[in-house]
Amino acid sequence: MAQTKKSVSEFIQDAFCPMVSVLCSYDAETICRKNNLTFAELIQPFCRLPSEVGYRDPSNNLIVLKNLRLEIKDFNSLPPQNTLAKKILNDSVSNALNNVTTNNEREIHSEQYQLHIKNTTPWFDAWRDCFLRISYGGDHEYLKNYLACVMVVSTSHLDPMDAFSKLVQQQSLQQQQSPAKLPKWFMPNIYKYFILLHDVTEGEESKAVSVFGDLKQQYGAGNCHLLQINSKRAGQTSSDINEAMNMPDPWRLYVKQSSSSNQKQSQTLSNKDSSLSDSLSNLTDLIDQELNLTTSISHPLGSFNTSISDLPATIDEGYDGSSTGNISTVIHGACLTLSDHDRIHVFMHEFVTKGLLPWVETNLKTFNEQITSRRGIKKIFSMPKNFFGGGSTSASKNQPSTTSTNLSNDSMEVVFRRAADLAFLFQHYELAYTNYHAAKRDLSRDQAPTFYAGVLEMCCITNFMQESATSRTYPAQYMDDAIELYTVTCRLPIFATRCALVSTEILKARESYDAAVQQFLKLSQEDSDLRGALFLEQAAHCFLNYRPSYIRKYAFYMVIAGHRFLKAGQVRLHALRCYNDVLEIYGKPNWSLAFDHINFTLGKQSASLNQANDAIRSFNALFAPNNRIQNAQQQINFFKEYLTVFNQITNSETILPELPVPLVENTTIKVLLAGHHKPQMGGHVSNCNDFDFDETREVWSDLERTITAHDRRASGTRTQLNLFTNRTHNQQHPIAVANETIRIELYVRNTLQVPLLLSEVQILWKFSSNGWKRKTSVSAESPEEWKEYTNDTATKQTDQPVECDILSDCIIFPNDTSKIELSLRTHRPGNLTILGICYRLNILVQNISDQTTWPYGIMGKTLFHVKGVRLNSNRRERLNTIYAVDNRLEIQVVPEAPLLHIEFSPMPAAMFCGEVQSCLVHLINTNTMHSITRVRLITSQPNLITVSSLDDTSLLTYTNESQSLWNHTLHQHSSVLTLVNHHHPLLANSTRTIRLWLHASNLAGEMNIDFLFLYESDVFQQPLRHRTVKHSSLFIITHSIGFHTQSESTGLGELTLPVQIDNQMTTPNSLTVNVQQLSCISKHWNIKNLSPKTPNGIRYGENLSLLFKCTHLENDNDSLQMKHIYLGNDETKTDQYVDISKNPMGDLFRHFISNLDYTHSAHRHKIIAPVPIPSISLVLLWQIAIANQLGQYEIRHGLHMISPKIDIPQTEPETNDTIQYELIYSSVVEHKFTKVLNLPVELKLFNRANKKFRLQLQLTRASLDSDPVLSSCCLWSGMTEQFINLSAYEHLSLNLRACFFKPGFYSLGNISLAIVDKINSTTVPIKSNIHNYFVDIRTLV
Amino acid sequence: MACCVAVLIKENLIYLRRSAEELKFLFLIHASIDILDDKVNQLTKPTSDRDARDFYLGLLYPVEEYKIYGYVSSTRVKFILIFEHSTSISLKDQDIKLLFQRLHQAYIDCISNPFYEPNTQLKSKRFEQVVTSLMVQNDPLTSAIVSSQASSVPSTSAIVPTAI
Repeated sequence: MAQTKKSVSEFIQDAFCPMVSVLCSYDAETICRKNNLTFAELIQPFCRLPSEVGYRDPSNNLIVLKNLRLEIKDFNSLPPQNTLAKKILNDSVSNALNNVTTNNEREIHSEQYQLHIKNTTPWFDAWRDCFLRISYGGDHEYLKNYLACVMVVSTSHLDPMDAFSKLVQQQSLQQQQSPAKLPKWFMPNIYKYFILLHDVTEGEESKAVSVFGDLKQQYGAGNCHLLQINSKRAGQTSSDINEAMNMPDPWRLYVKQSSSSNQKQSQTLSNKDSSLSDSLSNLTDLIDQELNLTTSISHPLGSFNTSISDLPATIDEGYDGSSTGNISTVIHGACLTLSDHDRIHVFMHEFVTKGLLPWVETNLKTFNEQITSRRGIKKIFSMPKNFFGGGSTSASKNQPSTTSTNLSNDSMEVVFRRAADLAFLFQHYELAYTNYHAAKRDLSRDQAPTFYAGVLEMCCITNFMQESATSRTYPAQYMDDAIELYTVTCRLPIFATRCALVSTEILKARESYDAAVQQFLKLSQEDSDLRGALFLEQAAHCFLNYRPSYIRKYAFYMVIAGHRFLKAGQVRLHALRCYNDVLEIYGKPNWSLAFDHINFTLGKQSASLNQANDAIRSFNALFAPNNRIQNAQQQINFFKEYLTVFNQITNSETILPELPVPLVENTTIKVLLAGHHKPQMGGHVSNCNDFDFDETREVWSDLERTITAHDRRASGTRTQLNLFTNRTHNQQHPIAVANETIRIELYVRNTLQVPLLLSEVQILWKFSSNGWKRKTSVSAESPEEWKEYTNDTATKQTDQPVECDILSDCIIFPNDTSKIELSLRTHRPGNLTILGICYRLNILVQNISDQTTWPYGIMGKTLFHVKGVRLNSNRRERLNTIYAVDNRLEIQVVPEAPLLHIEFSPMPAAMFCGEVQSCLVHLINTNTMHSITRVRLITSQPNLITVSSLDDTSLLTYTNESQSLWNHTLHQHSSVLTLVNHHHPLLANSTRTIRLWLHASNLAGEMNIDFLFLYESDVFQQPLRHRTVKHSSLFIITHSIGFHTQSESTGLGELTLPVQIDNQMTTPNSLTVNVQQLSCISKHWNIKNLSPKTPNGIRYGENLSLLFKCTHLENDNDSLQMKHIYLGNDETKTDQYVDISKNPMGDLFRHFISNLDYTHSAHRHKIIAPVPIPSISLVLLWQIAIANQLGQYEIRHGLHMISPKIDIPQTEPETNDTIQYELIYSSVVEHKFTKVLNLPVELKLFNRANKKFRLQLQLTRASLDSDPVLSSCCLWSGMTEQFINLSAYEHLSLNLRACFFKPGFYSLGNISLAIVDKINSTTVPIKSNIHNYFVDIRTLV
Repeated sequence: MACCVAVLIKENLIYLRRSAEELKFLFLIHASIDILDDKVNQLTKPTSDRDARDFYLGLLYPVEEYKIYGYVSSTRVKFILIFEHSTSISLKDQDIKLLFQRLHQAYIDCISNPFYEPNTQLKSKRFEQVVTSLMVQNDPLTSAIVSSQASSVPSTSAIVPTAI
């Protein structure tokens, strides 16, 4: 509810107070003008009586008047004309908004809402006061009619008495003229009061006294007063002015009212002249002229013609005019001293007590007598009136009297009314009530509806004012009827409004808000939008006073009120206020349609009031991402409005506005410090400069550390990253290089139902060159260079340190996301901050004609807000939501530096297991000034990679020799390959090509090889010590062949090697694997092919078995020997062998053998140690002819390597085991025994040790029958004991002879071998299996 | 029959089905929240004659074309049914109460789904079915139901509390 400061009864007393007219002679007016006031104005501040006064009512009771106020108006003042009145009301409302000084908020806490609603509505109070002041009385009532007329003549007049009589005459003429004109008078013989105004400084006191004597004589002592004013001269000196300034100025509050009434008066006068021209501009012109003629005072309302054109100007003016300068310069009452003020007070008191109240007393008595005397007659007349009442209703319905009552001036009802009004004005409410009630009883509503309504209204008011009379219930129905009659029957909305104003106040005081709401709403319907709006707002406030508060009704009516305010025009601020007040209530989820309406209106109206920020805020809320239920057409409408408003508002702005759509998905922002570069050599570009290149894997930093671990210089530097996403650790600033492209990728989401068109998209940045210092030139830097640059402005600048690429257009479909990729380059070192993106926003609608209305869209920006990962390490971080810093958008730019581009000639995508392929790697130094001194390559699979110079095009190097020496040493290889060294740097703008060999692993499946090229240059400084290029390749490895062997010792130091080669391809195909060559690499073994010539092709599902024999190699110099065996079928090529010691085969073999015991060897040996070489390694070369996409056959070469384990102990064997021997003889012999059988037995000896031995061979010659063991032994012939020298690994055969004399089964075990130790002169017997040698001698028949 | 069905938790409109895409339904619902609040407040006042489980709030307020009825659960979930004036003339309070109880039961079934997140939009096929039955139910069917209910008045009074 709008609470007024005054209580309701005070309000009613002020609304209806006795009216007094002032009629001034010209000379009196002149005297008053010295004070810049008219006489009416002069006495206005004093017309509220501070003391209590009393009078006696007809029944001789004393009525005490508290706080009586008289309303004094000039005789000539008239209520304003309609248009002007409207204007004044409008202004009162619009001005009141600024005066809200009271911070009077009411808090409403309900289940859902925490509302702060302003308790007071001063604009409504202002409007109401203004309305009551300017509304004139109707014909049916006497409340607003003048009770008295004060005649003022000054002593300066030549003949004051004559002047007085003229004034009396003028008054009575005016009163009696017909038709009656304003002002209206209470009754025919009003009270007249005579004032003789005396100017103390100018007039003669004697004349004053004498004239006053005459006056008293003529008009009675009680009705005259000598008022002395102007006790001092108006400010001649500055001290006077100062003094005057210090004087209280009670006129301030009144002068505006009076001046406006002056204006009205002058306006009406001019209206008479200029045949009622209604044009407001005409009026105001005339007003101004009049004002300039009559008074030289300019006042706030004098600036009407300007205020109409621009509303904000009038809003700035205070309601009471105190804030405007021109008012404060005018000093009122400059000639009045404080004693003059007192005199005016005395005059007022005299006027009321001695003059007015006795007149009232007598009149009341008269009325009372009239009423009592007529009561008898009335009873007679009332009977037929009741009888014929029915007949008259139809007539009055046909022509409802709107303006005048058809009651004669002295009819009973009029007397009642007049008596009641008088009693009411002088606060005798009981008497008033009885009279009103009597009048109501006598009247029928059809006869005089206006009169009847007035009486009903007053009945209610007087009933309310009788505070003591609690017995009578408040007749609320009367008021409703009165309003109904005023509006419908009489068509007098002004009275209806007044009625409602008073009535609602009463109802609110009685806390029946429901009824108040009804009345407000009843009058909010038609005609005046301003009144409707105000009433709706009051009704809304009433809803808040319900228990519980009807918050939504409040909100709804506020919205309607806002709408009405808009319609009323010129009070848009109020409309905005209404909408703003309820914004919170509708801002709940799921009521977004209503919310949208409010925001839309707010945005539109704020824009029209040039409140740019509010407008944009409202519109932004309209496009908030959670708003989804609005349909597309509506959103298009919103957007159109938004675009037009935006264009209006932001034309003058220097900073780009932030736009609500599209939504940048901040988590998707990626920064890539590499530009696109097109392949110059026709190959593939290294793929690390793509956004989807996963640079975050641990492998890259591991690889980089592997390289930098060797560099003392680079220790402690962090690894170089090029791509920054929300997954990388962004605590450190990215380091970019000047003049190189920085690319940004982000996703934007369109949350609207309308497709959006972004054009001229570019990065918004801020650049300052002060962050990064070149140590050499700190002092040389001019201050200008430290300036900050940004493109976050609407105006385009030249000479920018940063160059942006512009994306011409990008369409985002409804509820879709779109990827935007933008790039920029800095030209200088410094600090670059990426703020966001700026773009031209438009919507894409089908209708072409629509699009022409806003062809350009609006330019705006969206800022990025990145945050790091949420921290979770300590308690504080766990309890709060703390994010790590994210510096990915704050880029440190270092001076220009060499940039290496890597290009690959086509890399194979699919390979067979063991296949060897080559590709070319182009190293391109794109920098035009600096050379790259060192390029190193490390890969995740170093054993599968080798490089050679560009010239080595062929994998296979042929030789004629089937057996050759491995003529270079095999070193432990380093995993880092140096491609460019400082002896031979990669010069600026030059290219170097190397050949890269890839050996597919033996495991089928996917093989990923990561290449890290790390390059250095002399110009690199901290923090950029080196730079990297990364590449990751994926190969699909398919099965090719299996290559197995298992060595078998044959004894006597020979090995058989059965080799099995399988075609392991998993899918049936027609491919044939041709094995080409098997090479054996060993220090000690030689290899021989035992298997016959077979077809060397192995098709799907087949296998090939080969058998090889390894024999010991005579090898003195410990060199590595190779033996190649050609397996192919081509007879012509049998003497052409592949030299596998040549690169890249040699490197691959080296990788192979160093990997054999990979786990044992410490990886990071500083010394390049020789690789332990396995005793035997087999290398199988094969080839597959495969058709490529073009249908051509190409030969794919493959390489399988194996190093079989050999069972020969490597360690020094037991001495007695080092020598092996065996006997070779025929086991069954038939003999005739005609002579002694001499059986030749071959003894084979083999020295397994690498040592020279001396052996003792003893052939035991057993004595016959003496030894049972030996009885069955053979008899050896020849030397029984001999010494044999056996050199290392020597095979030796000895021919022995056994003699047999008779058939039988003999053992050849009587042979013993011992090693002679020369030093100790002992013999060590050799463990022997000799007992197993038996011979069967049979007799040949 | 019913031309609009709405379920609200506090301010939050968690379910809305209307016979036509018209804003006025939203407006009516929003306006009736005030009245609902008012009536709920009266509910909380201890009155002896009231059945504690009777959550039917009756006619909220009359509009020219519609009749708006309200119902509130013990957890203050508000149900609103809007009937067109012409169709609902035959409806008695008792009938509407039954409709509300069916709606309430369907709501309880719906939110018993452990995957339903409280205070979010109701998305349940079965609830939709019940609402559809409330909305398309033509008068003969209703009257049949009502008559069957009316014929077994003592049994309904026994059934209804268990249903709630």
